[in-house]
Order: sequence, then structure tokens, then C-alpha cells
Amino acid sequence: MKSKHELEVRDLTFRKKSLTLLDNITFKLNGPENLVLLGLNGSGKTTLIKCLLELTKISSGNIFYNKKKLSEYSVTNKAQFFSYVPQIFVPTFGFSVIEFLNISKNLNIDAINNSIRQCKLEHLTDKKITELSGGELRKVLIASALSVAPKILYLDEPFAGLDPKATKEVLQILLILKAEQRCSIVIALHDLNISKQIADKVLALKRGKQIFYGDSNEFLSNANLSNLYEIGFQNASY
Amino acid sequence: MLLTKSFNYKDVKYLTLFIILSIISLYIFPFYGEEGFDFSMIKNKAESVNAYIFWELRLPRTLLAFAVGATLSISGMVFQGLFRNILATPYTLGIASGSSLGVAVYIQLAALGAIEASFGSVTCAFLGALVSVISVYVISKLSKIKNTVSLLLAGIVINFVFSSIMIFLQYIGDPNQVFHLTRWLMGSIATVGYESVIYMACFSLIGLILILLNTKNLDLLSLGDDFAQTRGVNLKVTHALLFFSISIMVAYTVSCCGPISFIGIIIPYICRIIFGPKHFILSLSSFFLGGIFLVICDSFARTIIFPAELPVGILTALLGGPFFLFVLFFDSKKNAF
Repeated sequence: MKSKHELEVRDLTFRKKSLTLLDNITFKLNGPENLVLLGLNGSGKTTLIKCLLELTKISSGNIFYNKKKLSEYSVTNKAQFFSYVPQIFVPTFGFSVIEFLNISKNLNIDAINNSIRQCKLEHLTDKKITELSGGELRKVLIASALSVAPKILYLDEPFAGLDPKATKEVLQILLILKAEQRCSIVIALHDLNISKQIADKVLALKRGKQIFYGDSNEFLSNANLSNLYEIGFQNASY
Repeated sequence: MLLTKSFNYKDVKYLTLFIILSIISLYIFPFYGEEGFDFSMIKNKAESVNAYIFWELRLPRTLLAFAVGATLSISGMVFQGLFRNILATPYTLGIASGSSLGVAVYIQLAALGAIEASFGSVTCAFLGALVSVISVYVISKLSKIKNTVSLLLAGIVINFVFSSIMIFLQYIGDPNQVFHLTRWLMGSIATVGYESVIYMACFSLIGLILILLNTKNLDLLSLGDDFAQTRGVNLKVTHALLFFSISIMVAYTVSCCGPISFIGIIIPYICRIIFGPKHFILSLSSFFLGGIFLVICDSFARTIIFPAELPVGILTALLGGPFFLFVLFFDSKKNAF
């Protein structure tokens, strides 16, 4: 089932005290397109995702979802459209995986079963989330995010700290999502190979400023990359 | 089908056991005391001394103990979920010290004749608790404290400040008054008649219902504020609602029977081991187990050194402490985390 939706961001600015952490971010995403956020550590990727989810209050600018201001949606509504996999998630209490997947308010039972299958969690369902390995926890978080059948899935560096096998498994899940076009993925990444496989659009951030927004293929040139990452890229075959 | 039911067989079994034990303890312990009663002795309500002791002293006291234990236990559970730290209880956040200061101030002022004695230590304890709750809340909001450890630190600092003021008041106070305060600080459930029982029961039942209505929110909040918010929890409203209603409950409890600490930590901990982290079953089980625990402690407190009476606060710590350490060291499954 293709999902049609639209996310538009106009002049999004986020300041903390005198620092401008995000400066005039503007882009438009036509679902089911996928967006990859690239940039160095501290360039504002996580902050942008939090702003787009309204976990952080933006200083100025507007975010529209399906032509309506994001702030006009209720918390419940937003929880139906968007879901979020944070980069760091430290559970305090030992819910079992199956309890954790059933915890959201607006549950979609088909989506839960589907996400368990898709993320291959069948053997983990009785394990406690406090006892999972890094890769397992990441997969459970993604499954949990998918359990509400979101329109946009926000992922904050889902590959950070994963071994090659777990990376491949998580990537597999994302590629299936891309192929099925059930939701848009907005993902912060560092790995350019993965970016190339997932992205339709790329938004590159440098110290809070948007230095590129456009098609993924156009971005991956040596000049752009050198500018973004502040190191030389020679003969890179991205 | 990979969905969980809200209960499993083991949970229902233990919860039923707790409920039955609650009923039994409420039934048996009023009869238990330095003077053994049987049914024939309490029938004639108007005439005999025994009937008076049973109906006006022991029964209300047992009921009050149950309500207080249940309230303290579920309020500890909520704060632990809300702040994602099993050390967070209304006591560690400074509510009890606020109440104590309220009582200390009351005793001083009453001795000076500055306020009417009828104003009551209960009212002052309640006001003191509200002051400390509001200060913890305002501090955490003003400083934009996001992490729980800082909030607990703020609570501990408030605890120290209030205790110091209280010690100062004790230092300058009249020895008789100071003794009154010291005794109050040890906690006691002694009561005559049903007035405070009815209030306390209302507080604990309203609290329980409120918590039961919010168990889904609490489950989500116990996993993180951002997580809860992206899953449809209205963070500010839920947080404020739970924080203040629980605080008011605890403030009343403390004003009624002094600071009885410890229940808020140990009972929810034990329930987490048995039932896991889901707040629906956890709140029901904490409610009943907390009630049972305090009824038992109080019954021992009023009989163990007859004809005197041991302050129940001492006994909860003396009984609860070693038991809690036992659980902590020998719980091989470490289910609570």
C-alpha cells in the first residue's frame, strides 16, 4: 500500500541561548520519498529530527504536514503519523519484547505482527529489553516504531555501534520498507554507501546550515562531500 | 498471534492471593492485641469497654494503616515510573521533610500563641508538604532539569534545607514542644473514630483509580519522555496531573500519621520482581501489598512492647530493611530491572 503524504519545512530555525543550532532549514518531502540527513557530528541532525517531531520547540519557521501546521495536530494524531527511533535508548525497566511492542497507544495489530516478522524478532519475544544486545535492541526499537504503522519513520543513526551482521539486518529492514513504500523514512546517517541505497533525497547539514537539499544522485560528488566532511575525497565511487 | 494478554495466569494468581490476604489481615488484626477479643465481646457496641476499644480504636486504626500503606506504596510506584529511577519516591523528593517542617513551625507558633491551636498540625503538615512539592517542581522547571538524577538531587537538597530549619526550631524550642515534634517524626497511626479513616480511604481510592486510568501512559513514560511523547502521551498534562495528585495524596498521608518512610521503595520493588514492569498489575498489587505490610507492622508496633507502643515508623524500617536487603542480595533473577 503506497502512502501519499507531504512534509514541508519552511525557514526552520532553532536557537539555544546565543547559539544557532539550525539555521533556516527549508525542504519539501513528497511521500513516500526517503530523506537522508548527512553531516558531521554536531551538525544538527538529531536536533532537526527532534524539531520535526516537535520534541523540541523551534525558535522560528514553520513545519507543515499535509498542508496543515504541525502544531495544530494533537499529540495523539502526531503519534499516528510519525514514529521515532532515537539514537540512544536506555530502558530502566525490564519489559519483555512483546510487551514493549504492544505498549503504544494506537496499536495496529497487523502492523505489530508484520513488524515482528519483518524484523525477525520471533525468537526474542519473551526476552527482556534490558537484556538485549545493541543490535537486537535497535531492531526491537524499529519494530516498535513500525507497530503504529506510521506515515513517516524517523531514525536517528540506527547503524551507530552495530556490528556488520546487525548492520546488514537493519539495512535489510529499511530496504524492504523502501521497496514497499508504506512510509517515508527520514534517517540520519554517516555511511554514504547506505545513504545511496536508501535515499531519494539528501539534506546535508554543516554547523546547522543547510548546504544541500536535492536528489541523492546529484549530491554524491567529490566536491560536495569534501565540503561537507571537511576532508578530501579522491576518486570516491559513491 | 503474538499479542500479549494484559494478564497472565501467574499474575492473576498472585493478585488474588494479595486480595485474600488483605481481607484476612483486615479481619484478623483488629482482634489482635494485648487484650484478646472474641465476637461476643464486641457485639454490644454501646455498653462494654471492649466493644469501644474494638470499634472506635482498633478497627479504624487497622483500616487507616491499610489505606496509608496502600497510598504510600502506589505513590512510590508512580514516582519511580515517572522518573525512571527506583529510588525516586515522594520521600526522596522532599515531601515528608516539608510536612515535618510544617508541623515544627506549627508547634513553635502555637507555643508562642501566634496561631490558633485549632488550626491544627494536620493543616500545617499539609501546607509544608505542598511548599516542598512546589519548590521541587519549580526548581526542576526553572533550571530546565531534564534528567532524573538532578531532580533527585534537588529533592535531597530540599530535604537537607528543611531538616536544618527544623533542627533549628527544635534547638530554640521549648523541650516539651520538641518532644511532641520528635514523637510525631517517628510516625504513628493511632486514631480515634473514623474521620481520618474516611478521608484517607477516599484519597487512596481516588489515587488508585487515577493511576489505573493512566497505566498505559505510565508504561510509556517509564521508557522515556521523548519515547512517550512520540507514542501519543501528552507529556506536560500527564506529568503534572500525576505529580501533583500523588503529592497531595502523600501530603495528606504524612500530615495524618507522620513520615512513615520506606514502604514507597520496598513494596513496589517486591511487586516489580513478582509482576514485572507493567503498571496496571503493578499498581493493583502494590496497593494491596502496601496495605497488608503496614497493617502487620502496625499491629506489631502496638503490641510488641506492651503496655507501651512502638512508633510504627521504626518498625517498618526494622522489619522492611533486612527483608529488603535479603531480596536485594538473593533475588537471582533480578527481575526488577
